[in-house]
Formats: sequence, structure tokens, C-alpha cells
Amino acid sequence: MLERELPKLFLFFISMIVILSFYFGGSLNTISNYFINSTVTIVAISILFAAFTFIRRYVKVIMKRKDTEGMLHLYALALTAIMVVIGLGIGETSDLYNNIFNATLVPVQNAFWAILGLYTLSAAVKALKARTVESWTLLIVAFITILYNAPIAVAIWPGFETLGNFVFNVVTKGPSWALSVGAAAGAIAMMIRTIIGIDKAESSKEAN
Amino acid sequence: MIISGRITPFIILLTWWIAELYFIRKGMKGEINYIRRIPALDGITEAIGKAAEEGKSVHYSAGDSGSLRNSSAAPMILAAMSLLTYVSEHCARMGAKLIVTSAQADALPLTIESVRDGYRKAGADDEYVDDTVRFVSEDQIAYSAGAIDMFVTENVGASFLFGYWAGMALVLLGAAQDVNAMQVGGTPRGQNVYMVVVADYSLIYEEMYAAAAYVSQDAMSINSIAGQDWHKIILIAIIVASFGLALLGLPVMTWLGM
Repeated sequence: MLERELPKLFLFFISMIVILSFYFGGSLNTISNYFINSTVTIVAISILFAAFTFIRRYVKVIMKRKDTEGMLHLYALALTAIMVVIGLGIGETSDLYNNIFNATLVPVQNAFWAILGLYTLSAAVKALKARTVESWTLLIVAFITILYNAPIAVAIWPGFETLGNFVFNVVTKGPSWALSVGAAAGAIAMMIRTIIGIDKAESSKEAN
Repeated sequence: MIISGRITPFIILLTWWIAELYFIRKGMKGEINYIRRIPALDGITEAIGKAAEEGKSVHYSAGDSGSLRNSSAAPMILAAMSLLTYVSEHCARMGAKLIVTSAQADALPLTIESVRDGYRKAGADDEYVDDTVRFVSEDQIAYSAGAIDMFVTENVGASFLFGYWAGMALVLLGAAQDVNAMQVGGTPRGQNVYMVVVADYSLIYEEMYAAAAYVSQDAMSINSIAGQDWHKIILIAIIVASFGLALLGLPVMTWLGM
């Protein structure tokens, strides 16, 4: 009984402090921050867990594959080892550490954003197939939005800016707020279910 | 004393609690409100079934960023955990290999427990392997790179993206499409539009919260959705009334303490 109810009581008690600290502030804020910041312990363990998973998986791939993919995994592992050694040895703020970061990770990150651009284009093509009246409307609005975001179009005819602002500030604002109200309603209902312990795991249901 | 400007939100929150507790209490008495079936939930079982038939893996993620310490991300991650239990239960029943990639370090124990609960519910505790949940990174680019690697090396046939999604949602959706994986997605954020366009089935914004309650098949959880709908009606009424009163030149914002 106690084993089942005690965690729920703790959850309720801590959640109420965190919620009330938003409205009342003061010393409740200090206690609330203490509880929130204590999760950093879990974060530290999770990161160790991630490093372990990463090494185990990549070593497995390297052992199995001797082709380019195996080489890439080997390269990733070697790079990780170098970063760890340099980071722990001479510090995260050292020039060497930053140079390696800027020469390897920054280009990779930029490549990812470039991939995002390609997928955005692909998704836009899929979304903008004008088969119905609704999709035609969407296509026209999308066309205005594209021109609004293209500096050359605004330079040719400044009216695109007015039209674009109308789309963003009037046409999309209402539905966007309505969706936000719905999402907030869902989030609060979720919060209440969690705090009072009805969104509990199957294992605890069995125990009941 | 309540902080200035937060009196109205506090009153709204209190009424919210009352509405929710009223409907939850009704659920405790056995009165269940009708909730329409969400098509994307059928899509989940369909996708798992397809992956199992083809001998492929099932991928699940609760987001490319966010954490339980973030007040806007936390409810989304928690809702995704309820759906994760549902997905893992069906994977265990259908014999599909499940891979859960995680980008939320502080939610890792919860993620592991949610998967274990699903296996337990399916009566397959012993089939759970430690390798199922893989925390990749809290950095969304590193996380996406790791997850995409698994799409290819683990032969993923179905992918589920729920929870808190930021910039990398479309990259993961696109990568899953490249390996011909069937996809179901949902997030109460702007990235939802990508899921609508690319995924085979999608949960639209708040549907994710409703789905999380629905899959539990618990009367109290299902009834809480009714409480949530009633409160939305009240909020809409407040918005419309405030708009009307403001048009009449009355100081509505001052009355609301904002």
C-alpha cells in the first residue's frame, strides 16, 4: 500500500509546489528550482549511458562491416575519442578543442540544415498538389508567402510585403491561436492526470 | 500574495482543476464519456503489423529535443510516453523489434519504464532487451544523425514520431520515407504541419494528448478529455465576451488583471 501510494504523494506534493511557485513566487521558487535542478543527476547518468550505447553499437558495426560504412563508424569513434581526450586534457575552451569542433562538427551541422532545406522542398511539392478548391487556395497563399520571403519579389512589387504580412498576421494568426488554446487545454489535462496519478503505468495498475 | 498579473490565470487554472476533477469523478463512478476513434491510432497498429510481416524494426521517438525540466515540453513528452507504452505493447504482441531513440536525458528512466510496461502488458516481460531504448544526444543535430543511422542499419519498417519536435522533425520524416517506412506522427507544435504532409497518419495538435488518454482505456483518463473540451468552450466564451466588451470600449484587460 505504502509502496504504491508514497510515490504518488511525493509527486502530488512536489508538483503543487512547482505550480504554486509560478503564482506566488518567493521562497516557493527556491524550493521549486531545487526540485527541478535535481534532475541533473538523471541527465548525467543518461549521458554516460549514451556514451556506452554509442561505443557498443559502433564497435558492432565496425566488426561486421569492412566497407565505407564501417570506415565512417570508425572515423566517428576516433573523433569522439580525440574530443574526449582533448576536452578532458586541456579543456573545452582551448583553441585546439574549438578548432577541431569548428572544422568537423560545424560543417556537419550545416549539412543537416541543408538536408532540411531539401526535405522542406520535397514536402512543399507534396503539399501543393492542386487537386481540390482547398488545395488551390493553399497554393495561392503559398505562392504569395514564397514571393513575400524572396527579396527580389518585394523589390519588384512592394505589395507582396503587404500581402505577406496580411497572410501572416491576419489569416494564419486566428487558427494558430485556436490550435494553441487546444494544445494548452490538452497539456493542462495531461498535467492534472499525471499529478493526481491516474496516468500511471500498467505495472502499478496491476498492483492495484 | 499572488504575483501581480497572475490572478486571472490562477482563477482559470482553479476552474480547470474543478472541471477536470468533476469529469474524472464521473469516470470513477463508471460513467464514460463518448470519445471518437482517432484514425491515426489504427495507423499505429497497421504500421507495426506491416513492419512485423516484413521482418523489419519499429522506430519510436518522443522528440528531437526538449526535456522534462521545460514546462512546455514536459506534457508533450509525458503524452508520448503513454503512446510509447501502447506501441511497445503492440510490438511485443506482433513480434516486431522495437527501437526507441531518445533525445531527452532526464526522461530516459521514464522511457525505459514505459517500454517495459508495454511488454509487461503484453505478457512478454522476458522479451524486453536493454538495447531497445537508446539515448542518442540532447543536441538535436547529433540526435538526428544517430537516429537516421539506425533507420538504415536497423532496417526500420515503421516509424512513430510523437512528443516535442523542433527543427529536425522533417529530417527524420524524410529519412524514414527514404527507407520506405510507414509513419505516424503528432506533436502539438508548429512542426505538426510536416507530419501532416509527410507521415501516413498524423495526430493533429491536441489529438496527441487525447490519444494518450484514449489508449489507456481508463475511464478516468478518457473522461478527463471531456473536461478538457468543456474548458475549451469556457475559454472560447471568455475570448468572445472579452472581444465584445473591448469593442464597447470597456477596460476588459484591466478587469482581467493583465
